[in-house]
Amino acid sequence: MPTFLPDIKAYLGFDDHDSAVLASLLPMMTAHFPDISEHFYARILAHPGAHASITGGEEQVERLKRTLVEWMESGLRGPHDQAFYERRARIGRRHVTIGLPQHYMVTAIGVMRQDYERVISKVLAQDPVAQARAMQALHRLFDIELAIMLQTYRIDSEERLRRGERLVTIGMIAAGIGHDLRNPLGVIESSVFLLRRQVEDDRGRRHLDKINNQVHRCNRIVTALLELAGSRAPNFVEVDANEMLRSAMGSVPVPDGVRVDTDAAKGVVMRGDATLLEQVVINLVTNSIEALQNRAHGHISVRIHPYDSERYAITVADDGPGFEPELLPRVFEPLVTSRASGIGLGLALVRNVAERHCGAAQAQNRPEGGAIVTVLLPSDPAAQAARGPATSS
Amino acid sequence: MTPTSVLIVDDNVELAENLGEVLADEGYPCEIEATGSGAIRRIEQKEYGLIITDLRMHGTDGLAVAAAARRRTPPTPVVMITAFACDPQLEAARAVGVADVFTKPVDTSVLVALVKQRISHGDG
Repeated sequence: MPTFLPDIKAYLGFDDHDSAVLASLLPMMTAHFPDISEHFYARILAHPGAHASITGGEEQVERLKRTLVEWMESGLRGPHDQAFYERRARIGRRHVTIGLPQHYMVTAIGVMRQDYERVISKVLAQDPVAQARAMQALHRLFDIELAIMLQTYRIDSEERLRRGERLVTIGMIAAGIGHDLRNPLGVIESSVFLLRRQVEDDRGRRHLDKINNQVHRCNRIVTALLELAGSRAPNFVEVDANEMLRSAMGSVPVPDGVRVDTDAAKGVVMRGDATLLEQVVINLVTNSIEALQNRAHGHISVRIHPYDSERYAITVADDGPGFEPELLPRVFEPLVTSRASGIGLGLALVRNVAERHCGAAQAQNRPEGGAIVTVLLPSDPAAQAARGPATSS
Repeated sequence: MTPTSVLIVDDNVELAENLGEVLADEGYPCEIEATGSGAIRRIEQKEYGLIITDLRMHGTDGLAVAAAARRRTPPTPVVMITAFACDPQLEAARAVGVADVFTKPVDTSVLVALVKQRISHGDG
């Protein structure tokens, strides 16, 4: 990673002597870190705009407090080298991921400065010279911290923007290719249809079946590509829940060791776009399977059940690691993913389909572990559309 | 007597030929036409039991073909095939009396079933 650390250090006049002064502060500051950390998060929690980016509840706050103590310790301990720079840069990127507005970094560092100043003025009350020297080094350190965070924040958000633009281009190309593939696939499909009447022997028919299955598979891929590239109007029909689940599960290869249970409650009236609803189940189950990767055993439960008098729910739950708490509020946004392999479109399409049915999608971590995604859909999307759409959360 | 021949209009000739072969096997004589303007000429000269046309074609499109089919007395039923499920032109197609619209990919057996229904009932 390119670094501008030497440049900022030179600009601020931060040198090895500053590093030594900061390291000498560590023994007397350590005892105060928990209090500073408490105060830091109390300020954030009291402020709605900053609080909004913390979604994991008390547990997450406790974890963040511990991380902040480590951050304070390593800031004083040094060395203020490339490894330090890279650790700090990760914090900037993390803030982009959780959607924290950039100005909170400046104000948060401001809160830290005041708290450090208060502590330093107490612990070095007897030595004004040392106190001034300590504050000088601390201000330089905080300026470096801030410069790194702001810089990486900007680089990372620009990169996200570029990715978004790239994706739009890819979507347009995909849509073009998808349309162009429809016709040759249609010719193959109808030629197979004709050949089936000529071919008598089992072996020949078996191969025609294979060609036919693969053509259908290609058509499904093309449909998914077009689905992502643009939002066609949903075609609302009565959907048989069991039939839909069977068809969806037929498209998802389930690895050994993963058990998938499906269950559709009796009496659920589903009106919706059969293809889109199937895609919802396929995407959710695929996500769960990927979350269970590297585990010897896993369990996924797919349920369709009445939710209230006007809605039914499709839920997909797994016993994997669950969503990262920081990402939880944003998992339905395009390009948000914790997987190195994914580009973050699966859940975006789930929400897109839910909203096109005037429904909503919710993601949670289960108390007993694992993730659960609930897609709430109105029994009659057309009537719901007349009342106005629900919101996803 | 209801005419049983089918006119298939598609600028993808191989697709039209395959469909023609399938329908011929079912007992419906078929004619293949690669252009909209050629299709309109045929429609003006002959009564078909059904016209199956692609919506988007170079030059004269499926809408013009459907309009020509409607000008006949009685109007010839039209099945429209499109690659775009939410093509804004589908509204226009319905306005010229197209009742049956298929989005690609079209399942051949489903299309055959519809042709049987449309030609035996003579409605559209």
